[in-house]
Order: sequence, then structure tokens, then C-alpha cells
Amino acid sequence: MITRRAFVKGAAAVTGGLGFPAVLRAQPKEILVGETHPLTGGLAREGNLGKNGIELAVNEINAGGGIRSMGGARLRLMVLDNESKPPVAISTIERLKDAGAAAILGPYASGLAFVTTQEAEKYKIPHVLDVAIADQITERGFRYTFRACPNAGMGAKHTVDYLGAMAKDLKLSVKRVVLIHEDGIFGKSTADTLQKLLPGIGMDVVERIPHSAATQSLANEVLRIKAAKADIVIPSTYYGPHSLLLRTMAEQRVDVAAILSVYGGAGSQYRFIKDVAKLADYMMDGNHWYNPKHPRIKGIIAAFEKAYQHPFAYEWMLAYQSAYVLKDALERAASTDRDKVRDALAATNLKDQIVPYPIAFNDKGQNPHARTLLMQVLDQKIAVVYPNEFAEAKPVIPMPAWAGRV
Amino acid sequence: MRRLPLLLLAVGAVIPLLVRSEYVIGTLTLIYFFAFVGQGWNILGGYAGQFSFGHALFFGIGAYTSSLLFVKAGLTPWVGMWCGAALAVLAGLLTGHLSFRFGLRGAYFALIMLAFAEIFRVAATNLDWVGGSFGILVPLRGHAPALFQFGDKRYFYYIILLMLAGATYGVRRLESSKLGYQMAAIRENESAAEGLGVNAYRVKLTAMALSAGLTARGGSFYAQYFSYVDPAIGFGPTNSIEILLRPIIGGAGTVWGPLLGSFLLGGLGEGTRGLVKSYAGVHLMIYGVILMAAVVFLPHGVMGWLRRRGVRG
Repeated sequence: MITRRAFVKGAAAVTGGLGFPAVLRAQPKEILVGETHPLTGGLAREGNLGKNGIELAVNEINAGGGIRSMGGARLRLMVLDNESKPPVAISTIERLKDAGAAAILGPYASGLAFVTTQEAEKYKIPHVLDVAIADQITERGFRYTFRACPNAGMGAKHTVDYLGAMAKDLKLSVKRVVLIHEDGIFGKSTADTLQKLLPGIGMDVVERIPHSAATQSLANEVLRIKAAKADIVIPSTYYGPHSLLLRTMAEQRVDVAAILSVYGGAGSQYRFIKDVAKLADYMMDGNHWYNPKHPRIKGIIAAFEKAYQHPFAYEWMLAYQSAYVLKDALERAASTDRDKVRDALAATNLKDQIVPYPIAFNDKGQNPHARTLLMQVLDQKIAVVYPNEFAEAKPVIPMPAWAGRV
Repeated sequence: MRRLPLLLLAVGAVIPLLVRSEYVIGTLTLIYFFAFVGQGWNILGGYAGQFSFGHALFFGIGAYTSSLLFVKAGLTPWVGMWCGAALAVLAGLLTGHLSFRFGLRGAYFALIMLAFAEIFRVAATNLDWVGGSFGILVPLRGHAPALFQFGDKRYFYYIILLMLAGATYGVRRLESSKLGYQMAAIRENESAAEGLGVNAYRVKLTAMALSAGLTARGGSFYAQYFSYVDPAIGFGPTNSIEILLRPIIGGAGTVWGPLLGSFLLGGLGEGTRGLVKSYAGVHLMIYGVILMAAVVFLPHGVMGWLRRRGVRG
């Protein structure tokens, strides 16, 4: 079991005490940990969040005494920018292989992960993914790929289950669902999954509206939502169109019981609240999130805000978590031998994590226990509203009419 | 000088025996690969002077055809590659006929090619039986040479080296053939060439077919090497630019331009990446500045500059 050093006030004193004798003894050896992230290009924002998350975790781990089973060996990160491009992503893995990295973290996006996992497999380097949720990544029979977070299919299923249970709990009469999605891989595949799952909780998809991710206006699409008399609107799209949808619905005063997204581009993002202010209230989103009841989570979020002047975002949290999954495996492997690290990863059994699920891997390298939570923006804060064991607030459905609040 | 090509090939052939670094092998593989598709573009854009801004069209057809035939029918990409090339030739003849028959030249031809590639990108995004927006993941079978899959990168290195050597040899032969001279005549002055009895329509279509077939084989190679292709990777405008960048920098309409350009851009990209590690993105800025300088000061590419020096010296 891992024992995480708390990153709280006391930690400095403790590590100061540990560090001093270490200087007198031989310098503890270093373990090279590779990281490939899109630090420039289209995914630069998310990639840099991931990089910061890993950096925070590695600093904590090193300050907490490194890898004990290897005499307090420190983790040394080799961070490479894959420029959001698959060919560059390949060359980052080659460079990490040449440099002798014990394992690789990253690369945030699925399109990059298809390439990086395949390269890592070729060189037999353990690769712990941070986000990269496309189901197919762990369906290719790779032995060196591990993903602790829920994949796309799991996320859609959880959110639909939560919606069904919530409708029952609150005795809601909602039936008519409109799906609005961008026509790329993310939006389309999510909409496909939802269309299959929603009838299972007694809801009908009455309209399905695709749009281009680069669209400048959603006025016609919102008219179609209105005409369809939707109870629930489910957007699966990127940040821009997601906030545009809200603005347009508010402008046209299209009232629905809930706007609920699955891995929504703008859902569960503090910058969204900053950008659209009151419009964001009552938005719901099923997404990656932390366990709000975990005793350490507040301290970690505060440490991240202090170090990087950035509010909470799940992108960095999952990257942070992936570094701890690797740390635990290194501790148990007591070796930087890639095969031993892989076997240790495969035997992972972590409980009491900041993510709201235990971490273990099935034979495909996916964590079957992973799950998303359902959040709602309430009073300009993102609160977990479902399932009940993690809930910080009661969900507000139906949401108040636009006319009364904007 | 005559032995230089064989010498280069020999050097290329022994590098993997001497170098253990996967990174060096991988980087060289990509340099050869871009030189290969650049050579494909070079036939039409360089020699025949028909500046295509949509060669991703042929690249994508190659990548998609070999991958789909493998995924849906189990056909080995070794054969699928040639099916892709055949389809790309057909697409080239069709788009070429439509453009040349109606006399599109210069910027208009560049734009129509861009539009054709976009049509295919949007179609590939929306047709589920070609993978839709997800694209195609080539199923991996471990080390399976019969299926164009290898456990070691060096196989890919040698394959693309041979493909590049073949293409370079072919273009060299083309340059001094009757067809090559006709292409050059059309490039320099199409009306004058026609006045001298060159069937411009026919020569341009031939250039288009050769160019399309070659580029498509590069697409199939890409799909096997990366084992993943989606509509933007295959047919996207970024890809069209990547394809034409190297021959233009190296020298369009020259045998060695694409290879030289690919080495320069590849080396430059990796060099700036290695130099500036601490600030994300700075290496891309330097790369961009050098690229602009090259375009401004070397309007005929590096080969043009070398030739001028040769004449003066």
C-alpha cells in the first residue's frame, strides 16, 4: 500500500529532517520517468495542465522521501512536447526509450495515445495514461498500457445511470431527450452510445442534432431544440460550441428541465463559470472528478493553485493520480526494470485515492472500478450531486426558467 | 558525381547496422517518408508546374484503401497499397480531367485541389463504413511481415528507403525523358508548349496520374507505420501542406529537392527541439523564422541556390 506524504504545512519540517542526513550519505540514485504531453499546438492548454499535475505529484513524492524500496531514489522527469501531432508523439517515445525511461506518463489525448501506447508496447515500456479516454486504446491487446480513469463508454453509461436513478429519486416526469453533438469523433461516438443507452432508463431521443465544431452560430439548432419540446438537452461538444449553446438557449429563452452533458467540453470547468458567469448555473455534467470527501483533496487543490495559479481542473488531477499509480508500482517492484514495473502495475490495488474509486487493472490494462460523477454548477461552484455517497448538494431539476434569472 | 546516388543509398543501408538509437532510426524513417510523398507531389507540382494544394486527397486514398481492405477483407496491405495507388490514379485522372479540361491554372488549380481533398475529408468523416470521424485503427498482429507489420522499426526504415530510392530513380529517368521535357515546357509556358505541338492536357493528366499513384503509396506506408489514420490525418489541409513543404524548400522540379528539403526540415525540426528544451513552443518559433527566411532568400529552393552557385563558381 502506498503511504502518501501529505502536502500540508507539517510536510516541510518532516522532509527537512529526512533530507539532511541524505546529504551526508551517498546521493540516492534517480529513476528516470518519461512524460509525453502536447505542450504546444491545439491541445496545449490540456497538455500543460497535465504536465503541472505530474510535476506537483513528483515534487511531493521526492519531498516525501522518494521510492523507499530503492533507498529513497528520486524520480527525475524527462518531459517531452509532442506538439499535439502523432508523428512527433512517436519520436518522443523513441527518445524516452533511448534515454532509458523506466515508464512513460501522458499523453492526454486519445489520438496521441493510439500512437504512444503502440510504441511503448513495441519497446516494452510501461505506459500509464492520464486521460485519453477512447475505449479502443485498451482493446488492442497491449500488455504495457494502463489506464486508471473511466473510458468514454463507461462515462456515458455512468451518467445515464445517474440520470435514471435521479429521475426516479426526484419523481421527475422527463422523457424527451435531444442530443446535440459536434460531428467529430468525440461528439459523434458519445451521441451514438447515448442513443443506445437512454431507452434503457425509459427516455426517448426525439431529435439528434449534429453541428460542426467550428460553428459560429447555433441559432437554428436551438430552434430545433425548442420545436422538439425537449425535457433534457444533452450536448457532447467542445468548449466553444458548448458555451455558445447556453448563450443561444438563454437568448431564445428555451427552457428545459436540464442541460446535462457527458464529458462536456465546458461542463465541470471553472473557466466556463468565469466566462459565462450566471449562465453556467444549473448546468450538469458527468465527468472525471475528485472524491470531495477525501481528507487530502483540499490541500492538494490549494497546493496546485498556489504553484500554478490555476483553479481545479480534472486534467491535472488525473495526471497527478497517474504519477502516484506509477510511484506505487515502483515501490512494489523495487526495481527500474521495465518488466518488473509492468508486473507491479498489473498487480496494482490502490484504495483511498483522491479519485472516487479504487484502482486496479483488468487484463486489458483498464481500471474496471473507475467511474465518473455527476456535477452541477450551483451558486457559481461545481458541486457533486450524484451518486449520493459523494454528493455535496442536492441536484436542482428542473432548472429555473431563463426569464427569471438572466 | 554519377556514383553519388549509389553512395547515398549505401550509406542509408548501413546506418541501421551502426546506430542503436531508436530515435535516430525513427527520425530518418520519417525524413525518407516525407521525401517520398514530396517526390510524388514534385512530379505534378515541380516538373509539370501544376501547383496542387490538395495532395492529401491521394495520400488519404492510399491510407484508407489499404487499411480498409485489410480490416474488412483481410487483404494484406502489400497488395492493398497497389489497390490504393490504382484508386488514387483514377481519382487523379478524374480531378485532373475536370480541372484541365476547363483550363484551370495557377491559383485556381491549387484551390480546386484543396476543395477536392476537403470533399473527401468531409465524406470520410460522415461515412460510417469507412470509420467515420473515428478513422481506422489497423489491427496489430505482432511481427507479421506478410501483413506489412514488423516488431522492429528497422524493417520500416528499409522499406521506405527502397521506396524512396525507386521514386528518386524514376523521377531522374523522367526528367531526361520526352515526357519530362514536355512537362518542363508546359511549366515554363503552357501556350508556347501547345504551339509547339505538345498535348498539354494529356501530359498534365499523365503527370497527375504518376503523382497521385506515388503519393498514395506513401499514404499506405503511413497507415502501416502509425497503424492509425483518421479523416484529418488522411485528407486534412495540414497534410497537404506537409506534403508540398519539403519539395518547395528543397527545390521544386529537381530530382534531389524533396530529399534535401526533407533532411533540412527534419533536421531543423529535431535540432531546434533539442536546442530549446526549457520553453515550450520556442523551437517552433525558431523553426518558423528559419522557414520564412528560406522562402524569402531561396525562392527556387536549396537546389536552385546550389545551382546558381555552381554556375557562378
